[in-house]
Amino acid sequence: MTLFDRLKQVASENPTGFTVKIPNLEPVTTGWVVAMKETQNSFGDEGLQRVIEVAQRTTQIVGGWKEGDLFYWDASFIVQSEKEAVQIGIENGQIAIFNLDTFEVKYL
Amino acid sequence: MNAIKNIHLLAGIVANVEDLEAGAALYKRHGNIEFKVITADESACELVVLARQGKNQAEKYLDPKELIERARSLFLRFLPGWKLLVRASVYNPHPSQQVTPQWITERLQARGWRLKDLINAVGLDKSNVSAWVGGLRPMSNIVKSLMWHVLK
Repeated sequence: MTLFDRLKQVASENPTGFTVKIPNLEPVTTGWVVAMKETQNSFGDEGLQRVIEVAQRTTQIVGGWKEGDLFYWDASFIVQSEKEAVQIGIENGQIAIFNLDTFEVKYL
Repeated sequence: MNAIKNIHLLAGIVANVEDLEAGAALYKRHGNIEFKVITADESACELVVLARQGKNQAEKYLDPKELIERARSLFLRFLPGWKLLVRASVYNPHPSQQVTPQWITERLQARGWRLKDLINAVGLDKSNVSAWVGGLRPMSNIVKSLMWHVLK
């Protein structure tokens, strides 16, 4: 099964949202998660393909969630330092970032 | 699609509702925490919201106090000085979530079943069932549900 197909399988089992490392698809459960500007508004199969390409050459972190009839995808940064996460979030034009340890949103 | 249900009740009340929604979207995406505006009384500055958490991939679940804290932190940022009442609905896992290879093995022993009995009961191929029971392949929620219903 290709990485593309495996990610689609993870997505079907986690429609409310998921974030995994590629290529082993291990769930990411710790750290600050910051969405990558480069992959904003990526949806459908074409979007997933683009996100995989971006993630493979950058952070190796892929996530997705279902919104209505569409499945959205993104590549993300995962950092342990709040200061670094804030900086990356600002650089990527994010309104807020999320901490997977405390399950809290931080506005930038 | 709005991240907060009934967000229209805050139209004209919250100035930058897009930012509020952005924060709610992160809770939804990463923790399967949903918010729903129940009532918004602008004259009394009182807001009632429901905060509900469902199953999530991270398998991290907040207790009622924590859910309320997250809701307060989110909404009161945009409605300073308002009185906020939060109804918290925490995640209650389905019993099938307890299914693991060890659980299956224990249930098989309790029934006096061998692996072939389980294979016959679930009606799936031997290689898949063996891999799940042996812990060689992770079980999806559907498989866990099947095993639970067969072996409970």
